[in-house]
Amino acid sequence: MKHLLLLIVTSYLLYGTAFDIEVFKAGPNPLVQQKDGLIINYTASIPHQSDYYIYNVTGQRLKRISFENSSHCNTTSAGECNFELLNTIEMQQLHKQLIVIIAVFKANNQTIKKKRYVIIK
Amino acid sequence: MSLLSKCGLIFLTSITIMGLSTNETPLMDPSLSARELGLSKAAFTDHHFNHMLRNPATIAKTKGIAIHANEFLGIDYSSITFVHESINTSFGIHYLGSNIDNMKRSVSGKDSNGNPIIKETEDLIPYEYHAISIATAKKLDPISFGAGLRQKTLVLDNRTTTSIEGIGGITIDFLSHFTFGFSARNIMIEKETKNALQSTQPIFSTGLKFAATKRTSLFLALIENKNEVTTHATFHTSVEHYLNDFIPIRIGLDHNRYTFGTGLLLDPFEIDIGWAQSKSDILPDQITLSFSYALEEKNHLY
Repeated sequence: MKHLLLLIVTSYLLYGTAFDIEVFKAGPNPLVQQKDGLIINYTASIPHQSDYYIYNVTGQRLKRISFENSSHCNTTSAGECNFELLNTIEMQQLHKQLIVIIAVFKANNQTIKKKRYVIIK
Repeated sequence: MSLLSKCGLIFLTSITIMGLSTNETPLMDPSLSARELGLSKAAFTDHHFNHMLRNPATIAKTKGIAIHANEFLGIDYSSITFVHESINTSFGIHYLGSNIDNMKRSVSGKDSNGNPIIKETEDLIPYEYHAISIATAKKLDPISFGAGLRQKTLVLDNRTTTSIEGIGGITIDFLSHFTFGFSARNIMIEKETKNALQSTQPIFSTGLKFAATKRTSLFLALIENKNEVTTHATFHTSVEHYLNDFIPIRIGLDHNRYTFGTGLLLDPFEIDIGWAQSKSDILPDQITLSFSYALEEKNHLY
């Protein structure tokens, strides 16, 4: 039993992939209304679930977009996730101001939060 | 405690359930002082120079200087209030400023597969928010009235927008224990745009203060703020109690969330901290710190 446990722990450490999100970007910044959509770029180590919350600076939630898996990601072999979260028309619904994008990523019972500011002008 | 005080206490503490109506966290107002936050925005009937922006009438017969600091969603806000009295009239000035100085400029493009990508540059984008307010107030017992102007400037990269709004208010003392207050703010005089910091709908507040004892005050208020809740006015109630000569405890219900505050009063110097609960897992709680110097001892607890 002890050997089996040791084997499981060792194989997890050797072959298990930790969940990580790297180089999270949101932009373009500043984002020009009627010209730009809101683009998200990051690199993920494994498939994951994601929730995007867009707030203004007073904490009013303007949008919430959820993805159950990474299928929206246009994922490359390097784990890059590059996609347009909101298109030009959707961005026109927001006022010209600073917005706060909070992304919540979940996988393997781990949660990672990332935050970025974007100016809409 | 007199019978009137007991009745007032029971009345004010028995209707708090009315405030629980939505799940959204009330919006963060960076101009709130720690005392106002801890008292759930309901204390604008109380004469204190830190309440200038909520009801300019409350600065009548007060003087002092205060600095406030808070942080929300990673953005720092600092403000300063100065109120003085001359020729039986009080004059106040308030400044609030905020900026982000590490936001990188980026442009969009496409990668080799045609997917959208962001290219960050080393340039930084300016983001600044400034709000300067002036107010004046006079007390003609038992009525105090005040009025003021507020100019807000928002800098978004190379785009600057300015708005000017009016504020006005009144307080009336009655039955020796009670103060009624009404204020109208965010009255647009000039506006270029609408956004979170430069909201356009007027805010009307009606409130009542009940001084149960020298050390205990209760506040309740109805605030109609269509920038935040379009369907109805929100209910706010709070209580402030001095445990001894130095330490106040403040507990309140700010529409649908709890607020708490405490401080250290070394008359005329006062340090306050205010906390307001977040109703969301994503948003942080709101915390404000204030340092106030009243320029003269008030001895209001004796």
